[in-house]
Amino acid sequence: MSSPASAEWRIARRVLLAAAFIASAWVLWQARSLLVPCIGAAFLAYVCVPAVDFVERNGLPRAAGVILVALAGFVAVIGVGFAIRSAAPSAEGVLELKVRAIHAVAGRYARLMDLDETSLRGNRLHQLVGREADATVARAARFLALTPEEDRLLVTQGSLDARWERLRRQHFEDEALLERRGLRDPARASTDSADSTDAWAGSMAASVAVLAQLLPAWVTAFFLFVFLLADDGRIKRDLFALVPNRYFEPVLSIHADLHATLQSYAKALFTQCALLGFTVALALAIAGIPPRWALVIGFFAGMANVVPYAGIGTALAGGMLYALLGYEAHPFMPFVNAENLPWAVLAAVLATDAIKNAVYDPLVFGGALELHPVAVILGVAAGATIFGFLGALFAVPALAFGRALGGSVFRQLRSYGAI
Amino acid sequence: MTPAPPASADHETLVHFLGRTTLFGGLGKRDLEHLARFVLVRQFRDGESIYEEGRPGAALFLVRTGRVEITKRMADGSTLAVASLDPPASFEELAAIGGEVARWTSARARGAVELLALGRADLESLSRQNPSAANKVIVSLAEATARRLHLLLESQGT
Repeated sequence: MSSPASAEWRIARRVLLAAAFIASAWVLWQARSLLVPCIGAAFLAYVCVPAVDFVERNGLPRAAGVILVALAGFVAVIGVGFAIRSAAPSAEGVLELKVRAIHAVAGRYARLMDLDETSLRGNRLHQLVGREADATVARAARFLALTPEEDRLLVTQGSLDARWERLRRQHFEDEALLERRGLRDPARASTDSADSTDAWAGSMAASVAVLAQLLPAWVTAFFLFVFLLADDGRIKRDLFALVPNRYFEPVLSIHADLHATLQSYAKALFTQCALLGFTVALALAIAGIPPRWALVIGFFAGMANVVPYAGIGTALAGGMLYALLGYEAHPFMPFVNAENLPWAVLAAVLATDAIKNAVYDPLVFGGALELHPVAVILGVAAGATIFGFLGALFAVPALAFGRALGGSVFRQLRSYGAI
Repeated sequence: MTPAPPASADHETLVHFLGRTTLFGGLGKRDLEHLARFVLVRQFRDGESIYEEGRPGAALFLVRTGRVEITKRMADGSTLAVASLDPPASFEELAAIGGEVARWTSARARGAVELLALGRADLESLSRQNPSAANKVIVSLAEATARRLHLLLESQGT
């Protein structure tokens, strides 16, 4: 029978443990802006460790492996940056894009609503939802409105060039059409122009402030990444030294379970991203998007796939943007043309999603991620709300890790008779 | 001459010790240095349980210092001393290569004991990172297991 003193000590210990838990949770919450980049760095380091091991196995010191991996990552980031920069349109390209977009919005809206020349009467659909749809189109037109600089550029650009002449004519017709329908807000551009310098200065100041706020977290994350890559097992040895002997083997088994879960998740995610990117590119190319653009959209869809559903979303957004802007179609199927290209793109993306759900997810992930879709959606939403983009990015690995941890702790402690 | 830091000295001793064991004696110095990163050092007090019969095994052990007594619980409730192990003996090799097998003996420290533990997952990592070294280790593990089985059969008079 236990003495009153030992009972009091037990209660005091529980209170202390609860207080320590609450204090730890509070510290973690306060440091959440630092926490997510650090978790990201740890996950990245975990993924890169095999590369460093490979370098070391081939006779080079571990430090050289770390430097090589960090350099390769740096070169990859710079390369992707240059690729995006070179793919990004010039001022003339942006202007052309905007003119085409306005034309596509105005033209497709008129066709969908069957608007007459006065643009005041349309079909049943227009009678039903015309007011709301007009407001949406007006918002899109305001978003795509040319700035005074772009207006000047449109007038002066390639004055003898037939393509620019066609774009100019198209733009003025579209503007007149939108204004006739009351879907154009002429004050918008001039307001933008007046405030553009101030707005630019304001946005620069805001960007610098955000950068200054984020920089310490990212610098810390980078050093953590290098530190974890350079580790030769000392962290694990030091952590295991803290484990009492009676819990040594259960903790060793839990560690092995978590290692296996994370490893299979990282492998499966990489494979799925690559497969999805390839499938999106192939499906969009078959649908009628030129192979070069299909590859670009596929690349970004594959990259975005690290966030659940973002890969398919990117494929749909990219494909639709291309199709709706009225660029030419290069269909493999004879019945696809520029007019029905958006439907072909939609079908291609839906088919890709079906392949992903029916083939890739079960084949690639298998048991690596036994999470209910609702849990995934809620987890990503909660991660994005609390921690922003990085929260969404790491929501699924965190959920998988938490699930594996809970299951493994329970299973191992029970099999070792600790509970 | 500048003295080496204590961590390196420990590591060097660990590498040297691993080279003296039957299981890892066939490995080269570089492989032993690689293996030394995986092993975990455990200290046990006199009489402290190392593992219990009937529980699953997750690691093999090497006796670095002290003595380990292996016992078996008999049907009548008595305990039979099966073996007494001194450095650089190894035990529970099956836990490192086998599946979820429950242990059929118990182990207890006799005096202060220092053990080196190598987990099953660590052996798997070793086989991915250094397949030739892992192959030698697995052959040694199989030999050790066969030797134990042979001794067991001999002790039962078969």
